[in-house]
Amino acid sequence: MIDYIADKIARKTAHNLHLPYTEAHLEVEMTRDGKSLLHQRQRSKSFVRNAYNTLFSQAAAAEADDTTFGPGLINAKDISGAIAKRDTPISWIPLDVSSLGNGFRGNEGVANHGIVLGLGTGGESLEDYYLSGALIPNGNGSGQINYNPTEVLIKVWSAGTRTLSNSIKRYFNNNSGAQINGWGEIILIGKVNFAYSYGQLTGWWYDTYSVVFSRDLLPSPVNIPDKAQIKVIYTISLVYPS
Amino acid sequence: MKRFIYEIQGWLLRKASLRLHVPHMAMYLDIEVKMPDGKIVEHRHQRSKSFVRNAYNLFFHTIAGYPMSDGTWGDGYVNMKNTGGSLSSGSYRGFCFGVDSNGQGFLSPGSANDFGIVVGTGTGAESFDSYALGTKIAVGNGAGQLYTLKSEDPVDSYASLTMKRTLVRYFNNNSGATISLGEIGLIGRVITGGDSSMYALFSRDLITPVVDILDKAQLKVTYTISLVYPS
Repeated sequence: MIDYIADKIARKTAHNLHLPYTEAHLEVEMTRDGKSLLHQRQRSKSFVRNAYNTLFSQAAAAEADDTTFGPGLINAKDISGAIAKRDTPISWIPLDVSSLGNGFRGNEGVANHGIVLGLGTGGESLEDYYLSGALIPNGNGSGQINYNPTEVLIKVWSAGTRTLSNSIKRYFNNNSGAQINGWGEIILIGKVNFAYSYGQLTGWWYDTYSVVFSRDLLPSPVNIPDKAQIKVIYTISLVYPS
Repeated sequence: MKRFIYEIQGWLLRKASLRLHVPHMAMYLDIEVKMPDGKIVEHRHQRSKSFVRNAYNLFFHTIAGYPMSDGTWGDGYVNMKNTGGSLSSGSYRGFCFGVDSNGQGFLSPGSANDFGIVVGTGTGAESFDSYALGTKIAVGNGAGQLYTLKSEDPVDSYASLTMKRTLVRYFNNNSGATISLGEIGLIGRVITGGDSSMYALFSRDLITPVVDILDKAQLKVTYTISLVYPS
């Protein structure tokens, strides 16, 4: 209820002040034999520092070159914990975010890019840069889940609320022959880059980093039955002024 | 009174954004006119409510990971328009800023007004679809011209969960007469892909009432862009 009111206030005031209002929603559905076992939609309140830093570096044209990670510093921390930094802002290009393998679109069988599932239950933190617990690895063996390729991005414009959204959707199949216990968390990993521009010369450093933009804890851990399919959708939206 | 209401709304937006753990961005504009004897004859501090579609589209591209390659300009489309009015989709379906040394991003070299903080005499209403100033003030010391200095080095700061970048530029009126400041734009030099870049308007503020830049006065324009982080 409080979030609902906060959302209303944020929408109204952002509109009046002509300021961007960004939000994210996470939808999770688990089915088996066409029967829905779980379906929940929640506000994602889990953008992590990497996402904020990327947005600030682009909005303010600020370089992401700090050597340490934390408040007041601009850079990114990749999924290994290494600092990603250059004397340029964090960017998506030269990678085309609409292509599989780029942006948030993890490819088939790839469990270190895009929407990724884990077994951890550690509390959400702005400083998160990976899962808090074990990864549910890709595959069809024991304890593994099949990572499908991320679906084509879905852009929707809602004229009434003047909201533009992009949905990132991925399916996962449990072909392991047994239940996977304790699915507790989801992360969204993007592949970012650093472009540069010296004088009239532009280009980029070819040192792509995989960085977490969001980490969401499920309300309670979920067991994934054998032969179940999971669908996860992140919808990120921006409210435009009139 | 209006300014007070804006600040109350800004406070509410900050509180709501912190509650929801979503980014809260804001921008302020300061205008100062100083005479050679140091006397400040005009000083305004106002909330800039003037991010234009280009800026929103870059924000959406950045945070939502959606390509900026739509072939149509307007609601529901993601792309960028340059200051000449041409639509660009970018070679790599995206845009970004380069290094932030002078000559890049929002940091213009001197005696140039293609990008950075740019001033004009236009008084056309603010529009979300603006992509250029109405009438840019030419660079120079002649009639109706302003001697335009290079952008100052940006200053970054962090306090109260808020990351700020402050951009400053000075303009000197050596024209021999008063010049009316009607509009201010923030124009970025952005990378479009390959070895190419373009100039894109990110914000245009209408100055109401206009500010008189008296002969021999110096105009200082400051934009402060901030982003509030959650705790």
